[in-house]
Parts: sequence; C-alpha cells; structure tokens
Amino acid sequence: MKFYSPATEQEALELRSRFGSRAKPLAGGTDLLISVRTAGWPEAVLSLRHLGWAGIVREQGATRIGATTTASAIARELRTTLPLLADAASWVGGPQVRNRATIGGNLANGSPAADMALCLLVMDAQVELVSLRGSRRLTVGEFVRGPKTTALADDEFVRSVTVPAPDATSRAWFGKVGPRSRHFISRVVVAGLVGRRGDSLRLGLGAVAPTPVRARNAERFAASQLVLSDETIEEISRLAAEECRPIDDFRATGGYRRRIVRVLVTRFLREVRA
Amino acid sequence: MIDRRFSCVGQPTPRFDAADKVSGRSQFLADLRFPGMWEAAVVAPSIAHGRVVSLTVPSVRDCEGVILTARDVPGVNQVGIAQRDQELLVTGVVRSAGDRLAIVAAPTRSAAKALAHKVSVRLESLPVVEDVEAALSPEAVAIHPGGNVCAELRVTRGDVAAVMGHADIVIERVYRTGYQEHAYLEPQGAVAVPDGDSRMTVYSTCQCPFYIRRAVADALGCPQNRVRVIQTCTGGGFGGKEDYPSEVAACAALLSRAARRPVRLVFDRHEDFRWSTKRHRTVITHRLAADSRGRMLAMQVDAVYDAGAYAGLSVIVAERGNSSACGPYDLSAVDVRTRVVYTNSLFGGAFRGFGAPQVTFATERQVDELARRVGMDPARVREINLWKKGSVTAAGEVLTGPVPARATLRRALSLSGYNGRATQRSGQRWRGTGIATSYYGNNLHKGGERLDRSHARVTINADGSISVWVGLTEMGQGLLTAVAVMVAEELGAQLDRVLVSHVDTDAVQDSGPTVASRGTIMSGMAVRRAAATLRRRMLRVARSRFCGKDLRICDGYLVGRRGGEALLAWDDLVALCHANRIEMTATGFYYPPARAYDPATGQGQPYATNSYTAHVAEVEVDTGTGLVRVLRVTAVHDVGRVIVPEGVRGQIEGGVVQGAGLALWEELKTHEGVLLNPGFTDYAIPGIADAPEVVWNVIERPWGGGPFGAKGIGEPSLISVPASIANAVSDALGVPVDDIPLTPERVMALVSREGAPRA
Amino acid sequence: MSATLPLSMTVNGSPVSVDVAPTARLLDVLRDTLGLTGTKEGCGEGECGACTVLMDGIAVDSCLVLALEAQGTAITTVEGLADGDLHPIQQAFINAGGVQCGFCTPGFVMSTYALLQATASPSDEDITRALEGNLCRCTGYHSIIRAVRLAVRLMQEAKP
Repeated sequence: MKFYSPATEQEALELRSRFGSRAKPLAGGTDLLISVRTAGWPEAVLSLRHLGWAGIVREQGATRIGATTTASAIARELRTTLPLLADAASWVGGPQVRNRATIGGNLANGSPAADMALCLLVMDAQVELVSLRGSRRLTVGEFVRGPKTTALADDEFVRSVTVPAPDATSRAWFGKVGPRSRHFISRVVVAGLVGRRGDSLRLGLGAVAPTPVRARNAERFAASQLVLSDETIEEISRLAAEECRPIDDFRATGGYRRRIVRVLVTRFLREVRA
Repeated sequence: MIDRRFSCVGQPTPRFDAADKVSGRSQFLADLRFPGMWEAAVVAPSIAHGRVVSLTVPSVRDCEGVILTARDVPGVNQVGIAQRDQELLVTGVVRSAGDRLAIVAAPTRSAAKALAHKVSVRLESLPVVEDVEAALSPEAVAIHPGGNVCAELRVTRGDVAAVMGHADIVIERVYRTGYQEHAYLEPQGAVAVPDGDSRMTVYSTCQCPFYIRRAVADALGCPQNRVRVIQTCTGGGFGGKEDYPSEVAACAALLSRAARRPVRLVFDRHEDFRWSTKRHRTVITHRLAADSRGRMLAMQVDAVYDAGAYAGLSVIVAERGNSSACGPYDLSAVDVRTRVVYTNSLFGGAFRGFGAPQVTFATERQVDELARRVGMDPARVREINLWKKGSVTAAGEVLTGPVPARATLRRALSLSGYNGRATQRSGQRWRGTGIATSYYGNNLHKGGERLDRSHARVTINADGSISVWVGLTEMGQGLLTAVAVMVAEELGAQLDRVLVSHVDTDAVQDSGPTVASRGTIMSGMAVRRAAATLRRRMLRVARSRFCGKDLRICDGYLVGRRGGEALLAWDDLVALCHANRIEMTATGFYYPPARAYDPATGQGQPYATNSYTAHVAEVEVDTGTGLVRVLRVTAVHDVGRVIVPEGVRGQIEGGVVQGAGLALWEELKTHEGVLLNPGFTDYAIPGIADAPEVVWNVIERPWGGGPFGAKGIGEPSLISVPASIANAVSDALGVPVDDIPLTPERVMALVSREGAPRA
Repeated sequence: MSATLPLSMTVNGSPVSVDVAPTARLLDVLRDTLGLTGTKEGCGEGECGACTVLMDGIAVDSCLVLALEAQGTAITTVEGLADGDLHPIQQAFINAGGVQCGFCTPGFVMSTYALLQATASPSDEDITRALEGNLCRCTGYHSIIRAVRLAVRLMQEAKP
C-alpha cells in the first residue's frame, strides 16, 4: 500500500485524480480500518489530515463544516447552533470513535444507518465536492445513492458540508434504537425538526431504506394540518412508516423497523407538543 | 461480615496482581515475545457440513512457512475431550464451521493468512442439521455414525404420571434459551516453544493447563512429561477457556514442532466468535404439577441441549442441568430426561452455570406461572415449597445440614423492598419485579469424581517469603489472592509475604479443571493442608527452642498461647528452621469424600454440598421499542465463608451483568450452522450504561467441606439472574415469557400478543 | 510487499523515530515495534476500547489509527501515566476493586485519564459517557465507576 499525506489541497487533488478508484481517502479512519480487514488494502491511501479541512465557520447564517471535522467537535461546538446534528454526533460509537470519526467520512461511507448524514439530509445541507475539475454541490439526497454507494466520483473528495440555519423556533429531535442503551449501530434512527405548532415538519428516517430518507408524504401531510392533534400525529407516523422500505437482516426485521419508526415519530411529535 | 477470629480471611484485601494490571505490566498471551517466533493461521471451511472432495496444499519453502493437514499429525489426530469424536484436523467430513482443514505458520500474521488462502479446498455440501428439532426428526441426516442423540441422562423418583394424573393443576410449557458467547476481553491464543526435538513448552490463556498438556502430548505423540504447560495471565474465561484452549494449543504445538521454532496462534475477535465454544442453547419442555394451594407435587422436565457437531463437554454440562432441573423445591415425584443432541451449529461448551441457567430459567418461570394460576404471590409460592433441613431432593438425597434457601429468599425480599413493589403499566414504560431462587451443587458432579482432586505446594524460603503453587487457575476471579489469604491465615504469616503463581504443569499435580466454582474450595483445602504441615514443623522447632511453652504463630509472629507475648518475628523463626535443616516445602492433596450416585436414575448425592441463592430483579420495559432496562438486581448468596470480600462482590456484580446479557441483549444468529453476527459490533454485551444497580448480601454458615467453611460463588452469581429478569418482564407485561434472550423484537411480539394487557 | 516509511512522534514524553509498514496501525507500532504491550487488542474494530491511548490529549482507539497518521503527535499510553509510582487513577482502580482479569484495565484507565483531564469533577453521566467505549466482562462496571469516583477524590486531595 502506498501512503500519501499531501500538504496542500492541490497535491491531494492530483493524487486523487492519478489514482482514481485505486486509492481511498483517509479522514478519521474509523470506517476504513475496519473495511480493510475484509476487503484488503487499496493500492493507495490519501490522508486528508493536513488539508485544513477540519473546522466550523459561520457564513451568512449558514454553518460550513469542514469534512474532516470530528463527531466530538460537532457534538461540543454545535450544541446551540445545530442541536440536531450535535445530538446525532454525540451518539456515534463511543468517545474514542467520536474523537476520530468525521462528518465527511460519515457521508462518504454511504451507510443507510449513518446518524450524522441523516441529520444533514433533514437540514437540507449541501455537500461540497472537489476535484481537479472544480467543485460542485449536491444535496445529501443527491449524494447518497444506495447502500454504501455515493455520487462521489473517483477523482473527488468531500470537502465540506454547509447547513442552512434552522428556523429559530424549530425543535430538534433525534432518536435511535438498537440492541442496548448506548454505543450501537442504529436499527432505526429518526431525526426531525418541527415548529412549535407542528408546522414545517422535516422528518428523516435512517436504517429503514437503502439510503437515509426524508418522509416526504408525512411532511406534506403535516404541512396541510393546522394543529398537532393526536389523530394528526397518528397519521404522520403512519405515513412515515409506510414510506420506509426496510429490509429483514440479521439485525432486525422490516416489520419491527416499521413499527419503531411509528413509535419514534409519535414520541417526537408528542414531546414537541408538550 | 468481618470475622475477628481471623487475621486475613474475610478482611478487605486488595488483589496482589492489581498493580501490574493497572500499569500494563502484566504479560498476557499476546504480550509474550520469543526469538524467531512465527505466527499461525487456521484454514476453516465456509460451510458447516460437507464432504472434503479435495484439499490441495501448495508447496512452500521452509523459510516461508509450514502448512499442516491431518496426515501431518505425528500423534493422534483427535481432540475430543470426553468422547473421541472430534478430529483435530479434518480428514473426510466437515461437521461444523469451526472445523480445521489445515493450519499454517509463517513469519508474520499477514504472511500466514496469505498462505492459508493458498490452501485450496473443495467441499461437497451435505444437508445441514440446523437445530435440535431438525436433528431429532426421523429424516435427519446422522452427523455421527451413532445418530444424533449423543447422550441421554435421567433423574427419576416416585411416580410422576400418577401424581400428575391426580393433581389439581398441571402447567406445561416449552421454554427456549439462546446461545451465549463468553466474550472474555482477551481472545483465545497459545504460544508453543520447542525445547530441542523432544520437549515442548506451551503458554496458554486458559482455565485447565492439564487438559492442554494431555491434548498437546496426544497430538505430538509424546509422553506427557515432555510437555510443559504454563498458564499466562488470563484475561477472562467464564468456561470458554476450559476445553477450547486445548485445540488452540495443539495446533500451535504441531506447527512449532514442524517449523522448529516458537509459534503463536492468536484468534482475532471474529474467529473467536465463530470457532470457540458457546453456552448451549436449549429447548425445555416443562410440566409442573401442584395443588390449588400452591404446593408443588411433581415435575417432568424434558431438556434438549444443542451440542453442535461434537460432544466436547456437552454431556458433562447436561449432567449438571439434569441434576439441577427441578430446582430447590420439595417434590414427591420427578422425571427428568436430558438429551445432548448433535447439530451442525455452534460448538456448545462450558459457560458459567454449566447447564444450570437454562433449566433454572424454565423452572423459575413455571413457579411464577403456578403463582399466577393459583392467585398467590410468587414469593409466597417459593416460601411454601423451598427445601428446608430434612427435605429430600430430586436425587433422593436427604438434606441433613443447614438449608438457608428460605433465609436467602427472605433477605433478598427484604433488601429489595419487594413487599412495597408495584407493577406499573401506565404510559409506555412498564415496570415489573421478578424473583428467582436456585441452588448450586458445589464441586464437580459425581460423574466427574475421578477429576475432583487438588494438589498444592508451599515453600517457605530462607528469607521468610512464601511461594505457593496450586493447580487451579486465576482468570480474573481473584482466586490467587484468595489462596494467598488462606495460606497466610493457615501459616500465621503476614499476607504480603505470600506469592501465588499461575499454574505450571511442572510444578503441581493435575488438580482438575478450574470450573464448577471449585477454585476456592479445592485449592483452599489442598493449600491449607500444605500450610498446616509447615506450621506443625515450624512449631516443633519453636518448641525445642522455647521449651515448655504453649506456642502458636499469628500475624507474622511466634507467640505464647497464654500471654500472647511475641517471642520471635516470622523471619527469625523461618531462619531458625532453615538453620535446623528442616524441610520447608510441603505439599497438600485433597479430594472430597466419594459419594454414591446412580446415573440411570439420577439418585444419590450428585454434589458435595449445595449453595442457595435468591435474585430479585426490577425492570422497566419500553413497550414502544421493546427495550428492557434492568433497574436493580438484589442478590443474596449463601457462600459459607467470605475469604476475600472484594472477590465475592466482584463475582456477584459481574454475574448480574453477564446474566442480564443472557436474558436480554446477547443473541447469536446462525444460518445453516454459520454465525451471522461475529464480533462486538453486532453482538451486544452489556456496556456501562446497561449495568443495573446491584444490591448484594451474603449469608455465612460455614461448610465443613470448604476451607474456613467457604463454598463457591463463581457460578451461583449468574445462574438465577436470567430467570429473575425474565420473571420481572413477565410481571411487567402480564404475559408468560418462554424464550430468552428477550430481545426488543421478542418483547414487542409479547406486547402485541392477543389478550396481553394494555396500558 | 510495501517498503517501510519513517514515523516520528512522541510517546510518553520521549521522541520516537521508527520505520513502519504503511498498513501498520498505531496499536501495532506501540506493541510490536516499541514493546509497549500495556495497550491491548480486544477486537480490532473500535468496539471494546482495550486499545485506548491518548493522541494529542484525546482518547482514541489505537486499532483504528493508521500509524503514519500519528506522525508528529504526542501519544500517551498506560505506561506513561506515572514515573515509577502509580498515578492516582491507577491507585484508585486497585483500592476500589476495579480490576479483575485486567485485560480491559489499561483501556479504562486511559479513558478515565482523558475524562479527568477534561473535567475534574465529572457527574455520573459524564463518567458513563466517557467510559461507554470501553467494555468489561468481569466486573459488571460498578467497581470501575467506584474507582473513577475515588480517583476524583485522590486527585483533588493531591492538589496543593
């Protein structure tokens, strides 16, 4: 394996372009160092460590988070600005993993159960991709295409994500369910933002479809309602559960996952209403 | 609990090995380095049942590595510990995914793995017998020539059919328990170091160095005196390092002999999950007959243990399950049938509790079902039926000694505030409380009697320091600290002069396995004898020096028995003995008295003595997600005598959490005999956030057969924990619980059952 | 077979320069190249925390850190906690009975060290959060929590 630790972005982009799919970018390494145990090492590894891509910047109300910003940093520094994302970040693995796992890696890994990626989807974040050809922006929905599959071209890196400022009155809710209390890969994960009166609902569901998804039908229905009554909440959660396409795998059955989506969405909205 | 009659026993005692462990200085197996050492890898099959069509081994230069298959075994290609049904390296048929087709050694682990990949295997699939139901069906493929029932054990007393025919109530349910992985933090491993061509030293993380010595000698085809096994500082065992290390060590030894250099075989976590032994999963059909006032009359239990492809220790595990199946209750008739059944699934072996947690779960659930049926409190039903002095057990044994079964239950009820409890079903978080009472037969079952002996050696060095060797192993439970305490107490020396070593098969005689919670009892009885011999020799010398005086040794001093005045310090007394050329080494050997037992009927005295336990568990069930939180477990144990308080507490707290894992969070999923979720990512052992509060207490009624009156605690600390949690969940949900683990999906199925209570 | 690359870092206060395989993990370099075997491998996948070390003051699973990524960093392992004597955290683990088989212990000690560097008086929740990346199979965790609380007291008492 050839290891490169480019000192400048230009150098990194050239290496990425040269190696293409024969190289893997390395940020925190918490996914890569596990995947190589079964998949073997790629021909080259490109470390993003020295590119200055870690950091959080406010830009005209939006928040730009560098791709190599760790989950710990996000959990710590964005608690008031982006509470939903900070909450999700605090649930990634245990502290040792959070201290290394990055938001760029979480996105690029393309896991349907990715907690931070789900929140970015809910918040309509934009993913910045760079290559020698220039840069482009995609929504999270455009970026994550399928299980472990993204729109990242072989010559591209994720450089940052930009999150628009959430509505000042919106409430955030994040919940994940697994086999025990803490430190697990989500069997179901729900992330949501909603106004105090149940308006402007944004609802994200993870681990229940090939990618993290927005429950658009549920959101549309919520938008059509004036009040967050019990019946409204029931219908929103029912629609959300219907919009999943969960599979049966050794972690959980699809039926269980759908059921938990309903429960978590209901809890979210009832808490907001209280 | 601190007894002023003892200087050391029962006193707060920090572990002697803790300083090395906290500083990282302890040498675990993977920390050992030997010059020229190579690394090993195993070639395992991808399927669980198949005929070997071809096995092609590439040629490899001596400097690159060695590859061994069955035909390269110089000794016997057999590693079955109790029954000789298990090849070390497979010849014609693969019967489990943990079989070994070839073993490989090379200069580095990655080179060994690369070499392993070059071994080409072609297997012709055979039908996979996935579980015991499949194994017992008439069309089942026979995994071994004798058929799929490996063994059948019985306990029969009285006329169960007649009693059940006349009983007011008969409750029959089928219970299922799942596999459990030991998940010791230190994976399996061994290093074999050759000494010339005819001697071999094996370092192993293990519980039973003597099992390993036999396995290595068998494989190498040499006498046992040419094999030395040294137990390394062992990072957890729980039964998982009872028999399996013999397989690992034999592989390392064969490779070491072939490569003529030290060879290390260490499993990675996924390999350990896939290949090493597991707690047996069981299917238990349980019938309980009682009268309408809650008095139990008879039990008929049909328990089936899934051995996997080889017998291993399964019959011995089943022996304990068989003898323990009816719990600590007065019954006029019992009929227990316990079968060990071969499948192509995971390899069943020893795991803390050794067959008892499974039957205890079934029996304790039945007791609660009886309580529900007769409208009585589950505590009251137990009160009525628990053994007392004079009771007759399922084995027909009359309990002549004290029977603190009720005492442990009452104390647990009192400490947990049981009478003030309230089952709560409002909102989505429901709360419930559950009880389980159990007993534990100490030491090895009568069936293992020939192994139940223990040897110890104590040397008092000229400088007054004391060296101790025992045959039982330290694996974290604190045994060696307890041994040191008992030696110090017996000799009258100060504790800090005593050092107990890890087991070395060259230093002591085979003392049987460190299992069955027998470590304290067996090593303690042996070491007390050795120490007592030395004390007598020292006092004889002292008496000739201080003629006429009535003397004893206490707290590191020779003292006059009357006045208590200190006559000589320990070091001076020892120097005096050495100057008089007294032999300052003594051995001690102990075995419990022989017992009568008829395996055909399960009647007699299966165990040396019983210990009694009560657990009370309080849980909160999230009826929306199915997740169960254990809020608190109260544990009361009848331990005879506490040797090291921190050791007892450590076992009780650890047993609660590991038992909770079996009850709730730990599930191994297989498909066609292959494990789907190896590793900690997808097998959830309890983390710190899952640990319930533990309230614990002990009853000390010394037992004459134990050192200073002590009984075992290693397994009683776990056995009735899963049952108490299952009963608590049943209480919370208001429905019977028949299966553990109570995973979130199973709980949701219970919540949604037709007729189940709603909030 | 890849050629080795140079790696320079500080380990337990001392500068270290070694040649490592590009695929080597920090865990491998610490244990095999530097002989610092106090850091353990329990799973190799960042689940058990037995390999926890501090990298520039923060706790990481060294099984998930490519060694070359540690270039120029300051690594602290369990061997580096104290010079000769035991660190109060280590003493606390002994006194509180927080050690049984000892395999998980260095990892817990390092995570505790990271916690107490950040927070001198952690709440119960701080403690369980800080240790949730470390698994123990022997103790049931309570004696470990008692050890952490004792460590807090010992460290406060040690302050002038």
